[in-house]
Amino acid sequence: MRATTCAPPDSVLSNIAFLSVRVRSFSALAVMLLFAACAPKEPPVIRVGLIGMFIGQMGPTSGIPAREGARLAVDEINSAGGVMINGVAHRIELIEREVDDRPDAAALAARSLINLDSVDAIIGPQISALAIGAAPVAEASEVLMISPMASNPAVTAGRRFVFRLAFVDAFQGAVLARFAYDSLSHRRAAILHDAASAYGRDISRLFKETFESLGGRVVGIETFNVDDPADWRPQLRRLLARNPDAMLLPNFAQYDSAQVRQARELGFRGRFLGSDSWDVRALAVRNNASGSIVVGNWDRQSSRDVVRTFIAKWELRHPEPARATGAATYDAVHLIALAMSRAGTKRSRAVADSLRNFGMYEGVISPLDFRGSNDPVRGAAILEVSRNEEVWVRGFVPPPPR
Amino acid sequence: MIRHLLRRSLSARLTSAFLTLSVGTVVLATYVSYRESEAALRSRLEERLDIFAEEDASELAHWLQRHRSTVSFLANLPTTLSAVTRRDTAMLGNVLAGLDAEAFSATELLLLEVPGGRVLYSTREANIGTFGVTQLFYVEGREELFTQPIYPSGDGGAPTLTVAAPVKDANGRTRAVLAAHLDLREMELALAKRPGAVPIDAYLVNQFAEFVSADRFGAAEHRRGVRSDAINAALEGRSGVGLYDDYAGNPVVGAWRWLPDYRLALILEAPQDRAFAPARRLLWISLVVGLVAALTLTLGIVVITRRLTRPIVAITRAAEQVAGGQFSVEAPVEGKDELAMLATAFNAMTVRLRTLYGELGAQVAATREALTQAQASRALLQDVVDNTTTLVLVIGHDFAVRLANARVAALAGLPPERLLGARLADLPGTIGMSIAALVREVRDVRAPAERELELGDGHETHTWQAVAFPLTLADGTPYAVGVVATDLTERARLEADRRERDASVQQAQKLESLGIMAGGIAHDFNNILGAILGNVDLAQTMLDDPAEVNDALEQIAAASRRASELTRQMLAYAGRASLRREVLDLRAVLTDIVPLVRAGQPKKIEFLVQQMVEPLWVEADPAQISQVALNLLTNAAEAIGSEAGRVTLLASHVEAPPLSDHERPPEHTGAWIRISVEDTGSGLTDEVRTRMFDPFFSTKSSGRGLGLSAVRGIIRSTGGILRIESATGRGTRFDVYLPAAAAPAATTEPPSITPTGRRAGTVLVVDDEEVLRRISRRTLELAGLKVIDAPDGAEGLARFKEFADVISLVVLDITMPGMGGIELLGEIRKLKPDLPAIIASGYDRADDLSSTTPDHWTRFLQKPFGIHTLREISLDLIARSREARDARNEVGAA
Repeated sequence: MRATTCAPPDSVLSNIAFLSVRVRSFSALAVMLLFAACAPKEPPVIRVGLIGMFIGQMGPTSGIPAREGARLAVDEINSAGGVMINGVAHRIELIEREVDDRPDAAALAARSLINLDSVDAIIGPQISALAIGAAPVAEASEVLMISPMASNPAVTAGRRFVFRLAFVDAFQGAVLARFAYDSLSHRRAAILHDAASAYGRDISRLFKETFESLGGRVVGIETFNVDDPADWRPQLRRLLARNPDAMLLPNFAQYDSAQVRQARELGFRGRFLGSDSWDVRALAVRNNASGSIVVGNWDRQSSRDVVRTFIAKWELRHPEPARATGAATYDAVHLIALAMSRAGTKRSRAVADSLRNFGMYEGVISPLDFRGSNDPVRGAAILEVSRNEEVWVRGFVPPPPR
Repeated sequence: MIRHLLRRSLSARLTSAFLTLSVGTVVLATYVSYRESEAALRSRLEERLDIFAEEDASELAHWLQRHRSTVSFLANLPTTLSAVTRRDTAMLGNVLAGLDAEAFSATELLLLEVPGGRVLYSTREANIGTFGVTQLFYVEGREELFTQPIYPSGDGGAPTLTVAAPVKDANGRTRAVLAAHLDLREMELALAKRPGAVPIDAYLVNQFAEFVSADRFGAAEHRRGVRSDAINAALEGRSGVGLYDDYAGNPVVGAWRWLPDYRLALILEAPQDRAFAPARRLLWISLVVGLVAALTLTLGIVVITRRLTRPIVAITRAAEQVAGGQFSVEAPVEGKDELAMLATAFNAMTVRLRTLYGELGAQVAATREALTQAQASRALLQDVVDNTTTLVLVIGHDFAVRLANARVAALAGLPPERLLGARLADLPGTIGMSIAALVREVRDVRAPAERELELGDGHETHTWQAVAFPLTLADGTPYAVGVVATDLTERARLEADRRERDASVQQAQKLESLGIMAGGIAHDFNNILGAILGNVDLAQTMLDDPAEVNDALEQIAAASRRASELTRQMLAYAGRASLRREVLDLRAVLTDIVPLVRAGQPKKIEFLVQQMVEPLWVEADPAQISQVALNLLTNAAEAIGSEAGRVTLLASHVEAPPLSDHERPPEHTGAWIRISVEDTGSGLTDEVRTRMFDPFFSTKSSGRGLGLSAVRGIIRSTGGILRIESATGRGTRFDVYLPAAAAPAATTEPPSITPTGRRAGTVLVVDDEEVLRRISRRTLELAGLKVIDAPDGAEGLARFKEFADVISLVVLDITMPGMGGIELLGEIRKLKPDLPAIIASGYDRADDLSSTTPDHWTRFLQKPFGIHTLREISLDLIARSREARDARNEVGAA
């Protein structure tokens, strides 16, 4: 990493740490001079930490797409000469940190990136539950953090340094309810969600409010505990007894397939409604999910240039198709680079201000405009799971007018 | 200052050397002992810290074990299980409330339901109903007693240490998890407090270098953790002791441990300044004691060296006084050692010096005196030469200026001080080269040289008469060349100025004199007119007697001639032409002027003109001589005033004018003529005598004060000298000495031709005044000539052309309107070159005929002229013309 003539500072300092005060200050001076002489050999670096679940169940749908999106953006920026800050080109160094699916683990990862790796900004975690753990650490240390796909309002609420690129849960709950009532003519909806998940709770609450205010009826809401064995039949039976024509499952990918399967086995013939946490591609292979409607962050079939370019680049590097998480993480890296360049500094306080007042950014995930807040004003995609492995886009809900 | 003292004083040098050595020794010894004591203190402190660290680590282990036991105990209480199964949290609260706060300190105690992780009970009521299903302590705590090492809490990131235990039912199935977030502040407080002279601070830092104590966590300055060498080393898993700067930059002695069970670093630190205070105190005490000792010893050295150097200082003082000129000083001689011998030798030396100095002083005084005199004489010389108008220069043989006066400086355009010593070649303008050539010549031939130089000062160039001469030493060796030059141009100009001034004064005075003369003229004219009128009356009454009439007419003619003479004299005096130098007989001038003066003066004054037998020829302007005589005579008469008195006029030949001592002999070397005017007046006062030649000085109220000034000017311009003798009460005598001139050659009058023979001839008379024209015409007709006349030049020329063949003479008036006589004559002569002509003029011929060359056939006649004169000249010219023509005819016939 460094030229061999310039010894890393840690070993030098620890070697001289126990000398007398006077001798040490001399040595420290010498070391400083040594590094001053070495400094020009290495371009300045922006250290960006990426927190993600790369291993395990969430890997293929969340961690890995996020990592690949981030790497793609970093490679683009660095090969184009880096980030110009006050006329000085900075290389981006990506520091990836695996995290368990626990808020305390996310906080641990954020603390580790900040205190031990001295990162200038953090991207991730991708989901609200983890972002809620990491956000207070970043905020307390005043380090910029962008959680690309976190939709829970608590992630950014009252914070200056934490941003998201997704829409908030309430928004997708409302969008889903309106589409189900207006376009699909459903009138009786049932809901099954994770009792401990704020995500599921918030989507359910907004769905219920919106659906019922339109004239529909939520016939039942059941919850489940994630540490139970994966059997939701009791809840499903109770729900099916109320004769719903649509069922909202605002749960994460590791549950949706099983829940869909069990619901069909118990005789449910209605339509499933999913949140942005659904892995639509994984679901698509199962016949019994076809026709399901999912609200998504990304319209991957968009004709916008940035989307087409991104997909083209992605496909050159990966056999797997691009996912929303990848696109959003890719956008997050670019946004951080642009905001730092505009602010003329790496300091998070100025970069956060720059980001809030960035104006319209033509992101891959969506056109984004923070309009002075930490949550972007943006649109949502309505997707339909099709039988023949294709995803139909049923529509795109535009961002609310400025 | 100090360096100066060290060089000067042996004592100071000795003292300072000793002081330096002793202070150096003291400092070195003090430093060594300080380092030793510091090292000893440090090693003892480090040992203590190491022991303390061990103590604290085990204390922490005890603290944690106590809490683990408590949590486990609580989880296994039947009350807890029944609270879960019955969901009766109130009961649980009672149990927990009974816990000893000293033995068990947790920020939160909570009970989570299994499955689902829902919080059934918490000491923080806000958390009841939330889900802890994803928490590690929940996941692990379901199985067995679990301690979750320090981690950032999910709701704010504060370091948290959680102990969790399963609450199991009789079947061994976990129904709930009891978890306690331990109070880390209390944990840190559990560390032993060790107050004392050296306070030791103990604290805990987590794996992210954060303080775990809530008292210290999250301070703005520690946002990204705290760092020090000890913390870094501990986070790398090492333990140790040493000196370093703590996280706030204060130097400390510290010990560190990594406690892997808690993922905590234990740090114990004591401030270095407190830890090493005894060593520093020792340092200061040693330093002060050592320095005092060194200073005391130094004082001793001072006393000893003083005693040794005192005789040397005494001799030195004496030597200084001798150097200052006091030769009477003696150095004290103490004892018989080497220093005493030095003092004796020194005293002998001063005696010798005293003698020598006395002699030297006398010589210096003499030299100074000579120098002062030389400077004074040089200044005097410079003053003298500076105040002359001549150039004065002394040039060395090296062509450097050794002396130059102000004129030279002005001419060279240099300030005088720069001129001195300058080389001739360096002087601006031509003066340098001109003088150099002269100097070179004098130097080479060793004889004086004289030359006229053209020298300019940039504005104008003057001619200088330069004389250069070698300057020699007493033995005759030339060493320089002196140059003296006189400004010829300036002298000539001054001369011209003076002449001009004199002329203007004379002219002014002449006008004044005219006024004086007018009185005399009027008197004479009245007499003459009286005679003429009387005789006319006589003639009218005696028309019957031709003889009487003729006699009266004779009288009239005589009176008229006198009047004419008077006019001539007046014209002669008024003389329009100035400076008409001619040889004249003074007798005539003087005789003419006396009646004019006499006429204007009271009859009481007698004018006595001494008999002048021989002609007195002088070369002068008759008008000016008249002016001189008039002035002197008038002055003499006025000096007498209204009293009776006598004015005597005498002119005679003399040998030479008397000269006073300072007077230059006049240029004239021949005979002289003296005109003396003497009066019997009151004589001149001294004041008048001093100022009488000043223009505009007058003793008379009516006079303009120009008389004597003009007289002196005229006499000077004529080459004469004026002498005055005066005695108060006995009158004044003015003597005018004029150079005598040779008598003019006798004028050869043309042979007078008797107006007989042929008087035939025709005369053309041109005159604008009819009366004169008629008289001329009548006169010429009486002489038997035919007369043609014309009133002006133009008609005269016409008449001449008409009668050119017969006209044998023209009589022309010189001043006429239109064509004047001279011009008309010119025209006539073009036709007949040898035609005789008479030019008549009311003025002196010199005025208007200056451009006309008089010739044989032209005569000038001054108005008024007598008819006899006109007739005789006319007949004469006609006769000569005819003779000449006859002669030409004879030659032609022969």
